[in-house]
Amino acid sequence: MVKFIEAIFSLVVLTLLCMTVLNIAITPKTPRIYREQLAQDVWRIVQLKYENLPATGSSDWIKLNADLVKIKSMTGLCVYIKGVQISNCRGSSGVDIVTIHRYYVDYTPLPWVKDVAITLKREQ
Amino acid sequence: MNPIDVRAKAIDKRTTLRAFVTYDTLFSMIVLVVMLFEIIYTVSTVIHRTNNYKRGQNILNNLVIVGDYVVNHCVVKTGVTSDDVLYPGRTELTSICWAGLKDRFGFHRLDIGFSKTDGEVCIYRIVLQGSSPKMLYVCGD
Repeated sequence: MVKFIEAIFSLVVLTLLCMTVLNIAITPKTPRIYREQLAQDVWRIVQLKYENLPATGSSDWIKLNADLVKIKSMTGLCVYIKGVQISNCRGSSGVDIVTIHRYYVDYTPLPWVKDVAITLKREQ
Repeated sequence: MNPIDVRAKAIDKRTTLRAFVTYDTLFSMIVLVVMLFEIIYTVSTVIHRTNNYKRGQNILNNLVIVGDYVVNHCVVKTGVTSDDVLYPGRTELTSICWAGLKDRFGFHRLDIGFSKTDGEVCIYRIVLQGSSPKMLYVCGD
């Protein structure tokens, strides 16, 4: 009877172990370069549509805000552009996915190299 | 007590004991066999999942490369003029641009467009169509 009880105990332990192993979900990870490419896409849209970052409060700034809101509704991504203080998400909640830095020349009023940081976040 | 009875009782007790040991072993062997099957099932499932994971990750990585190629070479430069800086521009997104990529990356299917294809691994890129941001889906299998 002792062997049988030991075997049953081992079976229970093994079953629990197997269930734990089988419950671990392994899904493909999104490469970091892809996340950087998405941030680059946002910057490209800004460049193509507005040439450079629009001044805070300007009509282009409002249009850019509307574009970011549309991006959020399509992709669920929060975009924060440091430099013009624009974001399509309220507050600073969310998990940072990626931040990229880009440099551009601002010609108003005089040519000046400026730094812009684009952060993508996923809302919690 | 009769010595014969005592001896008979002792033999009977020994036999019972031996039978008990045999049944104990038998039942524990059944449990061991169940454990063996459980181990085989778990290992085969894990191997199957790992293979699927590797394949999925490979497809995802290749889609990222294809997606970047399409955005940089098939969308941005196609039809871009000084008057039409927004991409895809006036020229429609054409499959000629990525025709060779399907075989080069070993895809069975490769679909690129503004709508998602079911049953395939998909990534998206954000592009401008006209003046509006759109999701360009790159799907493959």
